[in-house]
Amino acid sequence: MIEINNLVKHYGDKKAVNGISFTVNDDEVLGFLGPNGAGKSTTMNIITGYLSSTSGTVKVNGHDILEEPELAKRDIGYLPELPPLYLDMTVLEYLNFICDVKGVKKSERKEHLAKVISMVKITDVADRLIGNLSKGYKQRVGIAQAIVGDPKILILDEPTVGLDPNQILEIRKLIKTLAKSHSVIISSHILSEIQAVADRVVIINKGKVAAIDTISDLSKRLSGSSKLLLSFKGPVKEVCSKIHSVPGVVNVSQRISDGDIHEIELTIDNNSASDVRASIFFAMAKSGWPILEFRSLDPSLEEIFLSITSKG
Amino acid sequence: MANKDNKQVKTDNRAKTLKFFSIWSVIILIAIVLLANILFDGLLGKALTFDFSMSGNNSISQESVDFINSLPDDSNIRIIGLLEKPENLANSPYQYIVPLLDDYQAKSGGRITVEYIDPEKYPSIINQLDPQGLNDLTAGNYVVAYNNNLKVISPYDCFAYDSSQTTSYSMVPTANNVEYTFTNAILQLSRGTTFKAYIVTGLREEGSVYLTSILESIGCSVQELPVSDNFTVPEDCDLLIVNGPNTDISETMYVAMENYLYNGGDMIVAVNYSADNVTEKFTNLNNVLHYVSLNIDDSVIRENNASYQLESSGFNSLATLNSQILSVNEDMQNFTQFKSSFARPVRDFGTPHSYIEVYPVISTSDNAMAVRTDENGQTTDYENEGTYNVAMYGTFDGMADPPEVMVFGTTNFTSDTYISNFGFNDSNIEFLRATIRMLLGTDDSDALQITSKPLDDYSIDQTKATGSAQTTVLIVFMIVIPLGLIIAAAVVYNRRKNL
Amino acid sequence: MTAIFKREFLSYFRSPVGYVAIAIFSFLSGFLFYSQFSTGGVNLSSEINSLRNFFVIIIPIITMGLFAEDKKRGTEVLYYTTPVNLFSVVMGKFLAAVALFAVMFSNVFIHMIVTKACDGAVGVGVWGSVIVYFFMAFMFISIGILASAVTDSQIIAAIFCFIMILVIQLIDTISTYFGNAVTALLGNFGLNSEKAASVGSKLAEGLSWLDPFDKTQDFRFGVFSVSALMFCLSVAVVFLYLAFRVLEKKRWSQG
Repeated sequence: MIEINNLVKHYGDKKAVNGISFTVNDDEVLGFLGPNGAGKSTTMNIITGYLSSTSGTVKVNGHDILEEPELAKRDIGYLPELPPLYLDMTVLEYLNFICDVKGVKKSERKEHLAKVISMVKITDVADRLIGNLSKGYKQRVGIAQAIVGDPKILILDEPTVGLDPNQILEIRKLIKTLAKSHSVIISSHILSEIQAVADRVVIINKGKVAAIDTISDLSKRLSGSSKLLLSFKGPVKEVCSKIHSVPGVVNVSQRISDGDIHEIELTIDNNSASDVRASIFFAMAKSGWPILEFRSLDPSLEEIFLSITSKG
Repeated sequence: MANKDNKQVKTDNRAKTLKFFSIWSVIILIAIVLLANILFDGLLGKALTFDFSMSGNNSISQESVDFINSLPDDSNIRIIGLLEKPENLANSPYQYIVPLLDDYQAKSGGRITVEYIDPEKYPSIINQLDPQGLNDLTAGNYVVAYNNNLKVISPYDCFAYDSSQTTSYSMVPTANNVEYTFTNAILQLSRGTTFKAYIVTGLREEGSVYLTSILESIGCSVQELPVSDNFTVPEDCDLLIVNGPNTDISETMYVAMENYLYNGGDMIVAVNYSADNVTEKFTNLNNVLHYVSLNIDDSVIRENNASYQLESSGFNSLATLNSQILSVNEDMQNFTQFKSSFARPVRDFGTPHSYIEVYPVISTSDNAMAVRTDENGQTTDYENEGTYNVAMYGTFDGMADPPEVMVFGTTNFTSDTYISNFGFNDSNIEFLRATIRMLLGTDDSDALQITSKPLDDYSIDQTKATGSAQTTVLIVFMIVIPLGLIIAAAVVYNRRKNL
Repeated sequence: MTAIFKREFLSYFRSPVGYVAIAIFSFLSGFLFYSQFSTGGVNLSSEINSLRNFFVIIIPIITMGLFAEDKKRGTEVLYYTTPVNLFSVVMGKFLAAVALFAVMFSNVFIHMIVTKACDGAVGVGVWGSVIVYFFMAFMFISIGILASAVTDSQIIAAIFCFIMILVIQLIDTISTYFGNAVTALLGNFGLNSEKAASVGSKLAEGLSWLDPFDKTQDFRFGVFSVSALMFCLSVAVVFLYLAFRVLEKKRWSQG
């Protein structure tokens, strides 16, 4: 369990982290969500003891990271944004070194490594040079490095960034497996990423906590209104007024026009009883205006913050 | 920074404490280290300086201890240094003498007393020690007094010097012979001398200081025998030595020496081939040697077998003991190889008398050659490849007191240059001792083997550092090992690159 | 500590760096040995002392990457976020460099065996030189470690280390010039020349007191001075401690 209390980090006049407090419970996956530069990595670096804080405390299972760093670090496995890999070592050599560093007992090492390697699925590259591995495999070796020594808490900084969709799915699956026996803090700047794996989410922006909530509550909050994108052929003004009259549509705004092809953005009140999309489809079909594209728009992080702060 | 939202956050005091501790611990550590070093250096620096270099040089060997303890218990050997006991020993020859003499006194069981008397303060000491004024009792010398006899030792006699670096200003000592000198002095005084050796002088030879010292250590009293018109070999001569002559002996001398041999005399002749004597054929000297069917050629041996060469020229080479001599003297089986340089070939002259017996003693490899130098210094091949003798021994068979002659074609056994460079422990010099004992007919049971102690002597055994050994060193250390490592680097790099 | 030591030491041999460094050392020491051997006299003390002149090249090569590379690659995170003591990280890397030196030095031990086999002198002075060589290596390696700890560029670390070692090797000359400069300066300020000269020479003396080459010069003759060794060792300790503190700065630094 990690308790973070009023964490502040200044770089000169710049406040990278400005009074963050939250708690991570045992065996829970905490999503750490925020746009680039929000202070996610800085916070994680402070939690793991890599950086100092200007003020505030971090306690890992009751051990203060500043006062009892070695005891605190014993419980943490950390995968930083840039995995700390020695490119001139093979995977096995590297993991053996990590075992040495973390003080894994010689007698248990072989079994432990076999478990870790099979868990992150790097068995077939165990004897290859890390420098020659693909990005996805490197990321997995990085995760393997974090879970060596069975720390109770895993801190993963953007573990899926730069991976292809297949690799992302694999890593997500892996994190879910790990979550059964570890507390995990996982950071990302993509909401769906967090939604996929986390139980709870801490959203930070500009060095401050914007919201702490469970995923289900968050979805509810976010589901208050949503946006749709509609692309069609036809007269803009008429279509706009037609659609605005559909029950449940709150707002219509034009986005792009290219000849007689237009794109408009619709704000929908989700609490409306009927399915707005069906109504729009039939309305358009009736008037003989072909729909070229019709999809829902993911909210940007800024919009999420906006919606959270405006409601909260 | 008075922003309502970002009120000035105080830096965590614990971080400040850490910073404070960190900076001050560095400052304090540097201060402590500096102070401790200065104090340590100043107070204990001298006390904690251990001079292991002197330990070997400052204690006498078991050989000396045993010899001294074999002397009668009531012996009174006085060693008197004609100076105040020196306090500051560094960089003077006394640094090896004073502590060693103290060790003599300590280990002699009361037989030896060491005193220091400065003759400038107590002039009477000279008269006391040497009423007749026979010896050189200059201040700074040592006197060993025993059995009413004296032997004077100058500190400079106690070292061997590198002749190649000797200039008029500086002498570079190469070996410490202090123990050798003092123990042998005591030996001579205790035993007296039993043999008389004469060294012929006046033949433009180099000098025989070290040869004299060796003869004395074997129990010879040594005297010079200068060239003269009425040259005769004295009656009491047990051993006649012609050491490194550069001019031939005269007709008169030839007659005198042959007469000496006729009466059963023993001789050692050592000649080499040098710039000073290239044109010398040593006709008269050879005439003497012909008496025992020996002859020295007027050419020089060149060794062509690289594993015998000491320099690539082949004029410095290794020569091997010839096993035929072992039938005359079994003791010589302890020797195998010797250094020979600019050697004249020694051969059997073939004097037709059946009672003459001639033995090759030291020989080259099968690939040696005899070479001559013309007036321009150009060498010309002279004789075919084969084995040449560097030393031979000639005597008569079936006589009660036969003449015995050992001839060396090189001066590497007897010259001052060689002995000062290689010390008294060199195998050439040991062989010279064995030769002298063989000719004098003494066994070496009471001989002392005091070794000289190296100072700045880093010479390696020339018999092992042959031309081929040098090439091996060159190839192994400068090519094989570095290249092997580079190859290992390439192999490892290639193997790991593709893992 | 053993974990770090093992990794760093083996990493010298995972890349060509270690082999090439040893090969260069072997060639240089082999050349020195051969040039003595061929003249018929081998003075191993002077061979070893000559080898000290190559510290200025070899030590930057083997120490420059020790911390700088970790910082650049981001692997230093491991030392801060795993339960290892930072000082043992410093010591582990230091010992790895020392061990590489020992491996290099095995060349000289082979030379000793050859010398001994040829009845040459391997006296107490030679062992004195060996001891001095290693204590100086401790000192210079610790300087290289500090150089590597203060920057994330290997080149800067190498240059910094190079200059430090060069200054120490030339400290005798530098102190003389320094003394003369002070004398001249004080003279210009109107101090009488005798006093100025005495101040200058005192300062020069004080500065040259720091010269480790001067302190240890008698070892080659077998004269062992404990205080000289203590000096080298304590300089090494100071620089290692500084390196440790520089790394540990992250724990409290507000930068």
